[in-house]
Amino acid sequence: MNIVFATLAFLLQASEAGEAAQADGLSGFSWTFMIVSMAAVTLLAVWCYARIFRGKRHFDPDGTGPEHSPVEGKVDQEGGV
Amino acid sequence: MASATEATHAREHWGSRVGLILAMAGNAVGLGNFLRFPVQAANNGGGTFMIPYFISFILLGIPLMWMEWGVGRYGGRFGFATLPRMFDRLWRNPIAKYLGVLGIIMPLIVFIYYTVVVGWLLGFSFFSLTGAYFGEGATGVADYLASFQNIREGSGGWVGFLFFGIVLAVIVSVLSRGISKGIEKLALFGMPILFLFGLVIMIRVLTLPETAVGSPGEGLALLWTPEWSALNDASIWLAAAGQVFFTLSLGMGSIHAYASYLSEDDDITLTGLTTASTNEFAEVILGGTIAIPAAVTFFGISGLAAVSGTYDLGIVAMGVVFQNLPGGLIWGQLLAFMWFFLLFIAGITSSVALATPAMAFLQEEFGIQRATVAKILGGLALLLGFANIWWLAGGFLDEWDYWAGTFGLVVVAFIEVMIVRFAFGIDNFWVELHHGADLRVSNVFKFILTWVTPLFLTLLLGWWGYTEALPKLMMDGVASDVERSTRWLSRGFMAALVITVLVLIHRAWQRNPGVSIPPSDTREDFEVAR
Repeated sequence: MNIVFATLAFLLQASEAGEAAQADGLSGFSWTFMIVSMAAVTLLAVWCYARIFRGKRHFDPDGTGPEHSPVEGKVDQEGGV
Repeated sequence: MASATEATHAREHWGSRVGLILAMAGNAVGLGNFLRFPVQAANNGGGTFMIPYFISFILLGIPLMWMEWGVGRYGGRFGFATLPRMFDRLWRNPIAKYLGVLGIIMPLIVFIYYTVVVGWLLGFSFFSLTGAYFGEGATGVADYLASFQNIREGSGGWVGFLFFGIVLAVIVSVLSRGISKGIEKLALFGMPILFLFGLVIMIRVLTLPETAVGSPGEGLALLWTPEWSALNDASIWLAAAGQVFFTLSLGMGSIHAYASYLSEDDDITLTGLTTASTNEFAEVILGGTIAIPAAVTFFGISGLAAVSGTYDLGIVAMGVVFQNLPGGLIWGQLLAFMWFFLLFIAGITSSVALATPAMAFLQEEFGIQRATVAKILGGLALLLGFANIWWLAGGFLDEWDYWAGTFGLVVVAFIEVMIVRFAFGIDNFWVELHHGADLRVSNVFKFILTWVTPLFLTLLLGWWGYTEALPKLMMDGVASDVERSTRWLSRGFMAALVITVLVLIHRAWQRNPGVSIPPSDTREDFEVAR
């Protein structure tokens, strides 16, 4: 969730900065290119972490590691490659 | 000493998946994200650079990243964390293990000089809090940095050496504690701080008022305005591909080492992608919105050229920027501390990753205890780090940085891709990659890994070899005899390290000629196919 809040904070800040930036010569295309690129990178990270936290596999509190993961990976469950 | 077989049976594992991701991200997120990336982008057309950068990330970065995770976990199944054993398993040829020497030497060399640089950053963190260099202009901060760097002329160098020693002590302590209790704990503590500090500084930079010479918006415009005609320039594509390479720490051997400590059924597709996306967040969003917009605000576009070297921008220019922030001296000192401490964390988490292949090699092959190996590496880094400091002005560190930290990475990745592609087989690798996977990788990436990535790497290596490495080898542009001698001395040290590790590999195979531990799972499909 931290990363989501951080993203929101960033986008809010970026939108304010954007108004100033446009006045400084950041063209409409450049502004769009920057926001789309940053949003894509952020969304990829958020999507990955969301899947990781939903999965909850590989939990090993003693720090020595299980010999095998407690459950198969999703790809194996669906029938492998 | 325990035997190699005993040592491999006692292998550690990561304590948690998030710990692994943050440790891997700590490996990848380094000074390159905050310093090299903005400089490369600004020097290669800004927005024009970003287009090949994203294309390279997809065609080169992600496939190679998955390959390194896959090869690393595969090596871990047999109880080993280093490239000589991994290459030997992937390609049953007597030469393979010797090619793997690069996967120990390159990160070791980078580890040594990186630690020196991390020492400067820790020093600047400390002196930001005390305000020691505040009140100086760009020349004053540059002189302050030089006093850190130059141990031969003036007492400041000894202060820099002291911080180098502190950094080394921290690294030895972390390495001595092992994977889950040392490296993972460092990442769990350090990476959230890094991102928090990065976000705070980013917001402050983006909200800076316009000055007489520039504004943050002009800095962003520099980074995000493409010049379409420049896309024909091959050097921009190669610079972008190179940056992707460095930022993900490909070709270092450290991803392999970390991945080898996974359990054999653990996912690597989703976990690897998460690490890469974390790194990209740090690079594109934090790295792209701090140094250049801040420097343009206070130096202007025209003044940026004078401070666009990596350390000029990250240390000198930013050192001046924080002195001129609105809101008073205390706020400036605090933000300066956060910036340099952020770089320190980025550096130290990368340093421990870089030391891991050599650590694992000595532990696994010669049965030396972890704490002892950590002290041996600390001692070696102290000795050779001192050589880097002593001969810094003569280009000693530059030689190591280029051959091990730049060109060498591409060589290692090229060898690895060729071994996986032609000896191990992409089909076998695809099975290995998807074992335990939480994310099915599209077959498009299989095609990319089979054809595009090897071709891309061959072009990259060939182009750089011709345009950069050859002139560098011949020392074109180095006029001073003293500097040429220093650079030859630097190469001599590197050659001595390579020869030493080659001998150790030979000895290791005399002790344990084959892999003594059979794979413990039932992935018979490609074992039979081989």
